[in-house]
Amino acid sequence: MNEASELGVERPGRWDKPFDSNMSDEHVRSVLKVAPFSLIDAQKFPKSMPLAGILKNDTRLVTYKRGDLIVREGDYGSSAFFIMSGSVRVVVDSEATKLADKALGRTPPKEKNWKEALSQLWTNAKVPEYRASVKFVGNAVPGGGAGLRTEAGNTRVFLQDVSAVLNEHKTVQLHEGEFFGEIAALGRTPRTATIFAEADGVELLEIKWQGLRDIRNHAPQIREHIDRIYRERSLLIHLHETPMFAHLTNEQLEAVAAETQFKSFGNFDWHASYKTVIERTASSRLNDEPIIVEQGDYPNAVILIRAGFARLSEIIGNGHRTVSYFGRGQYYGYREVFHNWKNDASVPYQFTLRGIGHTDVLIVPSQVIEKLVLPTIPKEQQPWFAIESKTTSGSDQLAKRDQQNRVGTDVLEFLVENRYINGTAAMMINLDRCTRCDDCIRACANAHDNNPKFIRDGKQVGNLMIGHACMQCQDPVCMIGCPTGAIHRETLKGNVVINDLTCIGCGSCAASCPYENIQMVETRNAQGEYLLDKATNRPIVKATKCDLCLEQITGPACQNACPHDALVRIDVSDRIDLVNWVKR
Amino acid sequence: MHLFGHRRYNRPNQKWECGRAAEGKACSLGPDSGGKCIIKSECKPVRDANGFQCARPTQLGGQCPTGPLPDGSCCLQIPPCSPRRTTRAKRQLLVLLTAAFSIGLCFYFFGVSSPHRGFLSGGSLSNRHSSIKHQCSSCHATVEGNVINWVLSAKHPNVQSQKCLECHSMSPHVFSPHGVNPTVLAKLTEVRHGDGKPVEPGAKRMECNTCHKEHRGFQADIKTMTNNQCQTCHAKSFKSFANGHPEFDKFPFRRRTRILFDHSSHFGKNFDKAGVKDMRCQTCHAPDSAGQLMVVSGFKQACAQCHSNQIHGVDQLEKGLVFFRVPAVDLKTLKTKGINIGEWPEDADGALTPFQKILIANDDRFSTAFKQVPDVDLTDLGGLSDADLKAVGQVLWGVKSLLADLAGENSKHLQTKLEKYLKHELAPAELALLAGALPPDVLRNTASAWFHNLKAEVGAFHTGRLTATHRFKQPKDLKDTDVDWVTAGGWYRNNGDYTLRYRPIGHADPFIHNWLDVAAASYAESKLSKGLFDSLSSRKANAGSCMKCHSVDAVAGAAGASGGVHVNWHSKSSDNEPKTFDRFRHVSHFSLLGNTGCLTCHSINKDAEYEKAFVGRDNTVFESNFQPIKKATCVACHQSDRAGDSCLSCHNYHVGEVLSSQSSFKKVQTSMDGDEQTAAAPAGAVPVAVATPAPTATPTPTPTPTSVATPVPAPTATPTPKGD
Amino acid sequence: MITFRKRRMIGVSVSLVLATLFIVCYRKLTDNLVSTATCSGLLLFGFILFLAAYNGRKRITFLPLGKSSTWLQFHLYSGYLCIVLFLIHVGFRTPHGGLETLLAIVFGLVAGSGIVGAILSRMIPRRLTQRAGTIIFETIPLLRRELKDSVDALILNSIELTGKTTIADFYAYRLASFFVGPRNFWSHVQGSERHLSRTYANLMGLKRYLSHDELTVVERLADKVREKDNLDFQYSLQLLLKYWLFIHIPLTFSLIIIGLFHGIYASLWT
Repeated sequence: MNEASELGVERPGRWDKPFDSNMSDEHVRSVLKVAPFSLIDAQKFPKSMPLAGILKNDTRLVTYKRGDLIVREGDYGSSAFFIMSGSVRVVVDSEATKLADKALGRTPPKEKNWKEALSQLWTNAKVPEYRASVKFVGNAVPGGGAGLRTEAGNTRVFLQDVSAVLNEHKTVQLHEGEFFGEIAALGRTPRTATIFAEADGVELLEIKWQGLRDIRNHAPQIREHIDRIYRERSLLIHLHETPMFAHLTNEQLEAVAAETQFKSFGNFDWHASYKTVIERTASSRLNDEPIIVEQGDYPNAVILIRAGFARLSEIIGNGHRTVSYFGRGQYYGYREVFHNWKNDASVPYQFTLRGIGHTDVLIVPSQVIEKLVLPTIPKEQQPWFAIESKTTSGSDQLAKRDQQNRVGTDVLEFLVENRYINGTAAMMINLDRCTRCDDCIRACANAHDNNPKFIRDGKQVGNLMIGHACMQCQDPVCMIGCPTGAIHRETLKGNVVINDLTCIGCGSCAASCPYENIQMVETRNAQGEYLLDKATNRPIVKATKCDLCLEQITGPACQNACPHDALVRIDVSDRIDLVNWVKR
Repeated sequence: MHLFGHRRYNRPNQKWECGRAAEGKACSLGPDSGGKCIIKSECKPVRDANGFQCARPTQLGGQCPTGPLPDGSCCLQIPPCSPRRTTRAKRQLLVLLTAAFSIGLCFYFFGVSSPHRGFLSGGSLSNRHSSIKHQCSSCHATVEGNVINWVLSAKHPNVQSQKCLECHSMSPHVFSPHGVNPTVLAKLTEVRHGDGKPVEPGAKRMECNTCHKEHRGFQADIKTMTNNQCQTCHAKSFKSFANGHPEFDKFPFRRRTRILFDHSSHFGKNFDKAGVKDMRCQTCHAPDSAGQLMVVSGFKQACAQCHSNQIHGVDQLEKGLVFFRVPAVDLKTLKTKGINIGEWPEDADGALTPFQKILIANDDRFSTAFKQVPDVDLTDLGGLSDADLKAVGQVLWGVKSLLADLAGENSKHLQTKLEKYLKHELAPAELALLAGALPPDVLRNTASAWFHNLKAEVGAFHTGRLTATHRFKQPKDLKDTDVDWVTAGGWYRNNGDYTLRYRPIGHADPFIHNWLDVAAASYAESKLSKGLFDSLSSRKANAGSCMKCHSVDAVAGAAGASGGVHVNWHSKSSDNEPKTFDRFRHVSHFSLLGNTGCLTCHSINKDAEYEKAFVGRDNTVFESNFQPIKKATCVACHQSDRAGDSCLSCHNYHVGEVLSSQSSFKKVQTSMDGDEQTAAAPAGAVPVAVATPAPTATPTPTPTPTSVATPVPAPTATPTPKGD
Repeated sequence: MITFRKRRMIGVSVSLVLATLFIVCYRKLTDNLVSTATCSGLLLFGFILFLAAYNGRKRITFLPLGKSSTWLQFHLYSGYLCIVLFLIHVGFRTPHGGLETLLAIVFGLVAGSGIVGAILSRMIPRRLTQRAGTIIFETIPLLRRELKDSVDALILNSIELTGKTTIADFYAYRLASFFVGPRNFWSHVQGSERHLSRTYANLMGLKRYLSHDELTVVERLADKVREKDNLDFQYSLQLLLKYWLFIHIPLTFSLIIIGLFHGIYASLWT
């Protein structure tokens, strides 16, 4: 897995269109004057990708007014920030989430009680997509309300009463020359805090994740900086969550952490490219997926998936056949390492592990495992099936595998190719049972003020169909780039929901959803006429999607309403559930 | 659903959809909630610096090529459509209509008046009831008038059964199982169950419709009942008739025959002696109208050939029945005591006849005297007190004035006496019968022949101007009635012993027949009647000797009182045999008889001492001429897969006199001509003052004329039910 | 998660047990000369109400009243039991009265349509899936129209292309009507494809009069016919799936109403 090849594929797409066309060379120069950029040895960068180029194409300078929210806790972001001038405030106390919500006019969802639930029978609107109000006019909440401000085409949310917020909440100040948001950017993890500009004219350098990654790769001090932060903040926790390491003492765990390297593979905004990718042949698609470890190589490390997905495949004839897929928290290579440690005859990696879309992995070298982990490994943590000899013919193996994961290869490939593995609540419909009665849609509409939130249609494999309903992705790319944070993870169940009031109908989420599960709708008044925007006379549009009936007592209405057990909201990564349901 | 490359939600939950959806040209907006088309144009152009601009958003097709019209209106005006209901909305509409229709229908039928309620009836009635079609209220008391009345009229438990009884007169205990008197039922079940768990009297009230379910079509048999249903009450249940049904006991004999006829002796010798050829059962027996019983075809057909002469008493001169006699009297004593009885023949012989006693006892002028000396021996009056002698004198005058009355111009005297005796008015016809068409002239001659101036004497006696005592003058040249006349039957005189006699004119002689009935009727109460009956019915051959064949049953008296008697004038028939639990239709079995004929079932029992049973008057002591019939005989055919073995094929549910509605016709008739008796009297009986009582020791007092209509179930007579 | 087979086993056996129970009770009671009319009637009515309640449950989706599929299971099996109860109530006889007959007929229709519906709901989806996956019923008219437009276009430029109207005429006389609206309902329900092969035969018959580039047009036309037939197939079967309820549900309501009336009426008439 050499990056050149990977970048080679990627570059053309990447620098055709710069992050921000306003980023001029003198801007770049001005950036290069300030530490730590001034300290970076530009010579270390490959000709193909000079530091200046990166700064020009992958970064931009943004100025904020006092109170403007820069990042919001829980949001997804694909870029890190470097403070050029001024200072920002990080809300660190437990109230932070509340602030984020209040500030954004998000009313934290609450489950309806019976009366409220029943009242939907008569309170639901008669016309589709009826809206009493469509615009978020900041709401006065203690600790500062928030407002929407559109400036040079992009909408900003700002705190109306900064001083109040400062009094109300515990905040930390960040100053010139400091980074923030880099972990979230690289690790595809939610923002951990809400940060806002303390005064007018705060200037920040926003660095796209690709840029940040490349700089990190070639500038040791940046790498150390980032890795340090990461190790401090989340590595230990992540390792600890991994069953393989559960039995280690903190010292041992720290030792492991010290040896662990992390790497990210694939394309960070895969969701943009994937629609074109899916058109191509299976093999060519597979070739684009960066190889993490290759079948036949010596197993020198165990790979932990930290974010994103990986495909496990084996060579059958001239092609690869998907055996399994891994999501966050799962790992590969342990079995081989264990085997080699136990027996003198060593085996290579049995399968090929590829990054699907964007994959972020931790690499734990096998020596570390052998030294620290295996000697004290409890019985239950040992691999429960031995490695079978590779002598058996491919077809035999096919049969064998199909017995192991009874979903059938076709279904497996289907789920992986279309990235449905991303879904924790995918709408799966058994078309052999579905009578097309639309009870699911009606139930959905009942639960959402007479508006369906999904489309009973979608890609099919055999008798299975994945409906166009938000599947609550592990990696919710839709949240990237929402200008107002209208789409966010709510605090009740952690579902991704859209806050209708703050949604400005820009459609970025709908565009970035790879599954077409977010639909833009034209809002209407009680008479059923479109609500028109005064300025443009165009209907006011809102992004809508399934919220898994967050506020309903019943849970997902669609699933409950299906008379024939044909529809289920299923966590695709939970293979047991999947098999049980498909084979029911 | 794609539109201009955008996915759009389907909204099957909406009530209305664009009228052009069918042609696939639905507008993006669609109708409003009321199903009104509200879209005017594709967009509402917006004005900016350089004029009007098309405002159609991309997701609805984007800017149109032509752009807005100069006046700023959209170039793509949309003519209004007529929106259609969505599939589901259509269904809901249909639901509403159907529901409304149904409700309407119901209300209509609730509203309509009874003649049109046919539709509501539970179905056509069985053919027997089909005549009361559409008159719901004749059975359903609670549905007079319209629905409000129904609701108001509270639900009475047994009102319907009561309605049934309006046509069907039933046992007074009709609501007790089998219509049997509960206490009796208790006794019976106690006997049967033997486990000391009898059916409590009145434990179950059986409504008619428990078994008789109507409205099941014209053909429906509403009287049927399954074996299981019988066995739910009957504790000792068994599998089938062949398998478990109790053996018959003495079937079918419950009592001695009414007519004494010894089959074995007749077939054995009598017929041969009399040289009667080929006597067969059917010579004397024929099925009754119902085809059930084999009734005897009657005297003429069966017996007359040999027995009519016996009744006439051919060559038995003294056969006549003495109606009136001048009794022998101890004239000396009377003379010495100076009691004047007028002239009296010394050579008179014999005592007063029961007839005379009755008539004198019921003569106001002599009843007191007679009561004083009812059974005095007239031939020896010595040792009687003067008072008694005086009474005797009176009685003897009673004899004379009786004769005088009978010889008198009118029958008034006789009538009054009889009426006093019978305690009711006499119709002329009855008088004639009781008087046996007694010709007055015969009496006058007799009177003048025996007592020359009887009229004067009796007149004097009554007026109290009785003076001289006439010596009795022996009558001269008295001629007895010619023998041939005598043997011809009827009235005749015997001067030798001063008797007036009657000879029966044949079988069922009305005179004797009626006097027997009369006597039997008051047998219990009056000594005189008893005397008369005993004399008439004593089997020592006197007039007619009816009792040689006609058995006499004792009739249990009402509590305390001594019992009466009943003469069985008729052999067994559906009229004198109460309906029992058993049923056998002879006719249906004829086809099955082999060459053994009736003997197949009825084999004569030679050793039976048949006649012995007829000495007494208890009809339950008997020995039949025939062997009892065994269950096996019936089982041969009566099995589920052959002739059938349903309980009902041999057993009746309702016992006692059960009158189906046609018998209410009888009632109607009787109520029309007020004469209950005619209706009540068994067929073929001569019209007499007293109806033939049912031949049973009934707990009810001596039967009343209407006794036919009232059932008389009684422990002794009611055959013990089989199989419980 | 209990498999469908197991669930069916349980459902069938339980309802069989109940059915026999009902019948045995009925026999015992009638033997005891107890009239079962009232209690069986009430029980039957109760069952019918419960069955109808499923419709209500479908409306009130936002209350946790149990999964619709669970309800359906109960609905199905108590539906079958209902038939047994009905037979008991009428005493295994054909009713004679006008009202009774009417009720019986309505019940028959409701029960019958129910059974038919159950069968359809199990069979049709498979057929739909086997052939051409899912098309949403409401979108069919749109697709039909788009198809028609495309065919018209095809024909028109075939005329331009070839200068001959052979195909056009054939289309005008034989095919145009086929593309306009839904067609061949019954043959689709029966799963027959005779109509299709006939059309093909006609098309192929046309070939011998056609030039080379006309042939390509015919090929394209054939594809379009295939597509349209597919739409018809989807339309017919989905229509069936939706419209059997047009008998089942409305009649259920009149069944309840008339049944209620019948009950009141019977209790009044003593």
